[in-house]
Amino acid sequence: MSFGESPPVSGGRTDITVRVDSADGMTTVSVAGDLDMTTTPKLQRIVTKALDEGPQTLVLDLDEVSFLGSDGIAVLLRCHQYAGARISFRVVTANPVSLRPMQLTGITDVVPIFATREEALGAG
Amino acid sequence: MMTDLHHRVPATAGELPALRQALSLWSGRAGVGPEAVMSIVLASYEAMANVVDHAYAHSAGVLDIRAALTDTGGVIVTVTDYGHWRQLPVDPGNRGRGLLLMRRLATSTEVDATEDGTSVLLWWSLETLKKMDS
Repeated sequence: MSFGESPPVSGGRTDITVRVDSADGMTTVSVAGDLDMTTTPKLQRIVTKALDEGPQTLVLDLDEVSFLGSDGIAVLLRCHQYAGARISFRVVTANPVSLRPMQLTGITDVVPIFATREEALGAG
Repeated sequence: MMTDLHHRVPATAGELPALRQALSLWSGRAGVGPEAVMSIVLASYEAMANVVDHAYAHSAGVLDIRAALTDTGGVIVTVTDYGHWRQLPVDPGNRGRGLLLMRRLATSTEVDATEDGTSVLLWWSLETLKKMDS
């Protein structure tokens, strides 16, 4: 049972840091921070724009992500779909914070996931 | 004796990061291991995100989140809203995956929908919590 409310909450991360690097037809998008319903629109915009540039491969590095919910999963699927057959869309993470939700929702069967950036960039 | 956690906040997306942090701190203080804390925070987030997305279609409302230890060392989290239950659409998309995550993360998930609102009860047994960090 609860007796009254806990002290008010404050803080919590509300922004993500996204870095985009492009060279030789390979684009890498690295994300740090919490991917929830407040931050996924920003990531969606940035990845869509990067895909519009038409790279051969786009690697989305989620290793530094500190939270991934179903909203983030939906963005990954949309990006994968948007990339289509012409652009190879790959996700990098060895971090359970982002890997676990992907495994639990079965999207690891749909989107190619690599443990390191080198593996993702090196894969045919 | 561990104090229960209880927060009542406006059901808006911007409230959720701080609630995740509060729940994470509470779970850690309750002696839950890091993997299990991740599981509690993610499943509870999905329940809260569901309220933000669906509970109050045309008006503002609140959500209550409570967390407590059970007598047997498990953790119970309840997320309650006072809006109207709406059937999941045919293609449940995001929120369908949210429900899937809750079911896969918690030992049991119960959704209690009435005309006065919806309550999601997530329970982790001590055994489940320990297994995650073994």
